[in-house]
Formats: sequence, C-alpha cells, structure tokens
Amino acid sequence: MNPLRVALCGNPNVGKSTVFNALTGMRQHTGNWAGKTVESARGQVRGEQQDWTLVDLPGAYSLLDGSPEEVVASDYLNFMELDAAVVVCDATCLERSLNLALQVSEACPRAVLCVNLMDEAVKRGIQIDIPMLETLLCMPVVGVTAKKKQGLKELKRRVLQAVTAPDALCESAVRLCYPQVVERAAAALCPALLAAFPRIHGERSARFAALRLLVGGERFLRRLLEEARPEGYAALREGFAQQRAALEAEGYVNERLAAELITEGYRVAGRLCEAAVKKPEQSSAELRQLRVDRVLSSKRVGIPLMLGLLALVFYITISGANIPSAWLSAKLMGLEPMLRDLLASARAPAWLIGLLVDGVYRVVAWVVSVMLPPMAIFFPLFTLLEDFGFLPRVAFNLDCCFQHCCACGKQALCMMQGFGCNAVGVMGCRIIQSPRERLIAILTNALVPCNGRFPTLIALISMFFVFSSGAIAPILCALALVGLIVLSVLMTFASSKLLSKTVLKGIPSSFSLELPPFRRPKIAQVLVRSVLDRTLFVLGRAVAVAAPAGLCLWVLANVTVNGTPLIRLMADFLNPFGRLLGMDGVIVLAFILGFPANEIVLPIAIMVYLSQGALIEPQGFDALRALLVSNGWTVWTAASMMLFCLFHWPCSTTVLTIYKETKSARWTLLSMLLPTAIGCVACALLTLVSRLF
Amino acid sequence: MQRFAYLDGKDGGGLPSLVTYDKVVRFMMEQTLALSALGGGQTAVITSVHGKGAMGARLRDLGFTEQSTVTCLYASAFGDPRAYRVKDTVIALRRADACCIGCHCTGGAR
Repeated sequence: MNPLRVALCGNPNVGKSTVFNALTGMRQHTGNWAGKTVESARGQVRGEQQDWTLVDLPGAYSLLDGSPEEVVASDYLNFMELDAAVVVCDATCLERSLNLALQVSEACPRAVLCVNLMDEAVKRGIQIDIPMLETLLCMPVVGVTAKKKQGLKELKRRVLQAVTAPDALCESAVRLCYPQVVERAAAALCPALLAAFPRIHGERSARFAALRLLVGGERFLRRLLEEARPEGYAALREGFAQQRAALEAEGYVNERLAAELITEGYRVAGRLCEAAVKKPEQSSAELRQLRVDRVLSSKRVGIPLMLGLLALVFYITISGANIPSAWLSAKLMGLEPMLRDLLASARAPAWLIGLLVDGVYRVVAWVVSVMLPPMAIFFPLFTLLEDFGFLPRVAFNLDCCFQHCCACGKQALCMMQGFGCNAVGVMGCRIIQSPRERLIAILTNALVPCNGRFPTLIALISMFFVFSSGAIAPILCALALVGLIVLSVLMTFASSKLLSKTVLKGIPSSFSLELPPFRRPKIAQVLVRSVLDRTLFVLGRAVAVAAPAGLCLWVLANVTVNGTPLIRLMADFLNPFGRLLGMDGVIVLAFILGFPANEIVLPIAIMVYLSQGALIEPQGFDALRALLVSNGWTVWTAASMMLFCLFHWPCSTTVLTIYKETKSARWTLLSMLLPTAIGCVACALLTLVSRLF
Repeated sequence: MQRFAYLDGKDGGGLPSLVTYDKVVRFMMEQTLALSALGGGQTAVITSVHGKGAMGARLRDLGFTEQSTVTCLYASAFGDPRAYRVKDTVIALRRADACCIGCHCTGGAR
C-alpha cells in the first residue's frame, strides 16, 4: 500500500516542526520565533493501518498571496496530490490561526485542525471548546500538546478519518462567503482551472485557486501557465482577462479585493472564537511577560542587558571548555606514540607513518581538542536562548539601526543564526520579504563570526590578551569576545548601508515582526541533544575536512623543490602580503587552506609552524603561545589575525549556500570580496597603527 | 446612561454644560488617528487599513483588520519599532508602517 501523503501547515511559530518531530520521531530544528523553518522537511509516520509521508511546510500567514515561502506552501496545498492536510493552530491565539485554517480548508478539502499548545492555553486560563469548534467548522479538530506528545494518537486517528471521509462531507466544511461579484468571477474561472490542472482536488479547491488568481493577478497567471496543460492555456488566459475586467468594473481593484477576502476570513474566525473560546481579561502570565518585555526593550537597560547575556554565554563557553579541552588534548597526544608503534609493528613504511600520524591524525586531534569543546558548549546555550524566545527581542531592538541602513530588522535574526553557522544564517535570510533587503542580509552574513570561528578567537584572546590567571581570566576573555561581536555587528551596519547606497539602492520596505511569548525551554533535552548533535557534527567535519587537510599539509611539507619544502615556498610567497596585513605568510596560507571549514585555520597554522622544525608538543595555551612567539608572533599579529578571522571570505559551505540562494555567480563573488576587502583594510590600518608604537 | 439621554436630545432640559463636556469627550475619542500616534498602554479600534500594495494585505493577514482592537504595548530600545497586541499576538511595526493604519482611541493610560 502506498503511504498517505499528508502536509503540515500553519502560521509561523505555532509549533509545526514540534508536531512534525513528535509524529515522525525526527529531530528537525525548532525555535521560538517566526520563520525558523524555511525549507520543507519530509518524514515518515507509522500509522496503525497505513504509513504516511509527512511534509512540514514553511509557516504562512496567508495562502492568498505573499512571500515566496507562503506561495510554496499555498501551491503545495492547492495543486499537489494530497490525501490530507493538517493545519496546526496556536491555542493561545486561535483567532489568527483559524483565519489560515479556513483558507487551508478551502485550498485542500481534507483538512484536520490540530490545536497545538493546549498546555499553554490552560496556563493562561483559556478554555477551548473543541467539540463545539468541530461542529461549527464541520471538519475534524484535535487538541494537542506536541511538546509533551499529548493527543498525537487522536490526531493520527482523525487524519485517517479525514482521508477516508466521502467527498461530499469534505466539501461541506464551513465556507467563506465573499461578495456576490467575487463569487461569480471565481465560479466562472473554475472550469478553466479544472481543465488546465486535472490534479486539483475538486470544485472547492478550484474556487480557491481562482480567488488566488484574481488576487495575484498577472504574476500568478504567468506562474500558473508554466505548470498548466497546454490545451488549457487559452481558456485560462481569456477567462482571467474577462473576470478581472468584470471585477474592476465593480470597483474591486487589486488591493480592495485582497482586503475583502482577508476581512471575511477574520470575520468568520472571530465569530467561531466567540462561540468556542473563553478567555480571561488578562492573565497573570501575560502581565509577567509584559513586564519582562518592557525591561528587555527599555532605553537604558535593553541593549546592555543583551550584551550582558551574550557575555554570560561566552563566559560559560570559555570556562566550561577549558577542562574537556585539556583532557582531550592530553589523551589524544598520548595516543600518538601508540599509534606510531602500532603502524611500525605492522611494518608500514616511514612515509606512510608520517602521512597518517603527523599529517592526518595530528590535525584531527587538534581540531577535536581545541575547537570541539567551545563549539559543543556554545551551540546548546544559544539554542536555549532561541527556544526561550530571546532572538526576536534582539531583532526588535536592533531594527532601528537597520532601518537607518535601509535594511530589514529581520536581518538581525539571520545574523544570530550566523553565530551558529553562516550557511544556516544565509538560508535563514528567506524570512526577509524584500529581495533587495534579503540580498543585503545574505552578502553581509559572513561578517558575524560563526561557531567554527569562536574557538580561534577565544584561543587568541586567552593567549595574547588576557594575562591574569584564575577566576577573572574567563570573564575578561568573554568581555573581549563581546567587544569583537560588537565590532562585527557595527561592520554589518556599515556594509549594509554601503550596499544600500551603491549596488543595492532602494528605500526600506515594510517591516513586521512577531514577538512570540516566552516559553520555558526543555533544558535537559536541549543540552543533551545539541551537545551530542554538535559533537557528532564537528567530529564528522573533522574527519571529512580536517583529515584531508592534514594529508595535504604533510605532502606539502615533505615534497621538496630544490631542497625547500613546498609549504615553505608557498608561505614565503605569501609572506609580503601577510606582512602588509600584520600577519605572516603561514597565517594567510592557513586561511586559504582553511576555506573548506573555518575551524581548521588555527590547527593548520600550528601544524605548519611545527613542521618547520620546532619539535615541541604543545599542550595547553602556554606552550602554544611559546611556539607562536618563537615564530615571531606579537600582540599585533594576534590582533590582526583576529580581525582577519572576523572579516574574510566565508567558508566553502556558506559560499555554496549563497550561490544556491542568489543563483548568481556575481553576487556570490561579491559576498566573498566584501568581507575580504573589509578584513584587508582593517588589518592594514591596524598594522600602520602598530608601526607608530 | 442618564448622561447619554441628554446627548441624544430626548430630554429637552438638562444641563447644557454637561452636554458640551460629553460632546467634547466623545468628539476627542472618536477622532481618527494613525496607529503610530498611540502611546504605550493605549487601546484603539482600527477603522481603516490603507497600506500600499502588498503592505495592506500583509497587515491584514497579521490581524490588523477593521474593527479589531489593538493595544500599543511598548517601544523598542531606540524607540522606533513598537510592539502592538492584536488578536492575542504581539507584533512589532515600524512607525512608517503603523501610519497606514487608522484607528480611534478607546482608552488606556498614556
């Protein structure tokens, strides 16, 4: 038996991905802000009688017309062959969710309403009469708390019921009544649409498609014609022109028509809520939330509080990473002689031992011991902030600055995703509607340091800038790191402004951002899950990227041209350029070889220095510092490297993502050139200053 | 209730000064103003949404439809986007966009 095809849709941030995870047992990323999921995910659900293929669609406020993601969701529901659609609603703001649910039930008749976050509603004293809602809507309604996996069995049962229900029953679900002129125009378009798209689910869906066509206009028609059967072309085009003219004659121009349709949806949703939902005037939870929000957004405390929280996260990361880092380093270095002996006893030739142990193993060991612990600690902490609902507040506070740069405040959300991974941040830019502002956000995303660059920054700060030891060192280090973040955010503002005044000219478009209620994150689960996930991810990358890099390094260090190792030649070649930027050839070489992943830059530099004769085995930051100083490093070198680490070309994964998102080689090239140029200028200026001392 | 009777003119006598006062209050309350003019804590009922192009539809999608009640909650750190509660959700809007929404104030402390 073929699996059932079921789509999951709903407003942004109502917990679609949580429902998806609960049903499929998968682990899609979730977060407490609108626009976390931008790509549709697919998963298998085990049903009692039949399995399903479940598709998690990006969140939408409206199916009529809107952002590219909303259009994707809408097209999927309207034109794909679906057995059922599950509309996820937020029990705490049912009215708005119902507005979308009504649209979904028109687009895809076999819809099941899944009222999520029932526990939150109970906490706020909201009573929802589910049977009443079901009677009024004439479609299945289920109350669910996805986070606690409550009500999922019932949901599965009702979906199966919806799939097997007779067509007539599905068509009889509550129907929005639009003005007669609009209804007539939509009805007139239906036959043409049904002829051009045989996959449409019936008269009800066809009517909705007709409404979308009337609202969407030429743009929507062009897209429709690309997909339509060729023999339906003429009828569709002609019908559209006719009905459009008829509507315009009655005064329903574009905007008024859309307004009419949405208002009708909300009118019905409002009535349904009046009948089925009882809520108190203002609950204590709401008041508490309001008080917290007032503090977070206040003039004096807001921004310092945000920076303080960031510093706290860094402090925990730095002080927490020291112990596992030292332990891993000791263990892995201790394993090296054993590995060497093992290979020797297997009669491996000397070059192979060198290649595997000095090349591959050492770089992997470096990445795992120095880079992994901070990454594995920072990521879950940030996830906690995300789950709590902190990120939209930051975007809310920073929007004013972005407005001055003619950009969108949601760019702040992408930047914060960039702290985790720039590739994810670039993909997250899809939440920005205006194409111009989206491009600005994509091009400037690599200016904020990602998780892979934090360990490098932390190591450099603690080696060269924080001289005190003991309890205060991690605090100073965290503060310095916050300073660097502030620098990178300021640079983002500056380059956004530069871009919007030069290649991406334009005025700021509209901005609307939902501030979700704070939700208590499931701390234990997040910690375990994302520490494990992050560790596995970094380990996987270490094998995939660091191991080949180590191999490559060993070959470069051992292949000689006229008695000089190749690596020496390359470093010498890059040396003048490096000196100009306050660094040396080796560091520049490390940045170039580190293109596949930023976390291997520092390990590569250290390996190169080590391969040049210094045969110490550095353990801990003190020995490492000695090694670097013996290679001519000063405080200025470290500062330059930190600046260049902040501002240089994005890693290969990010570049690929940028290319996928912009579909343009020119923008991708610019996204690499922009941070590099900033980095070069900043480093050169710093070097000039350093010469003055 | 008694006071509204004067306003409706059902009672010919009554106190002229009170009538004028009530009229003034009602007049002030029913003045249409832009949502952006609302102060923190003030509540209003939306009377018109006239955003250009996609913005009007977007605002309506978010719940800013005619007849719905909206409360201005607080401003962000730099003052510009402000948070509004509408249909049980909190939505931040820039001043430029909130200007597109007309409403009349129904009360609440400034």
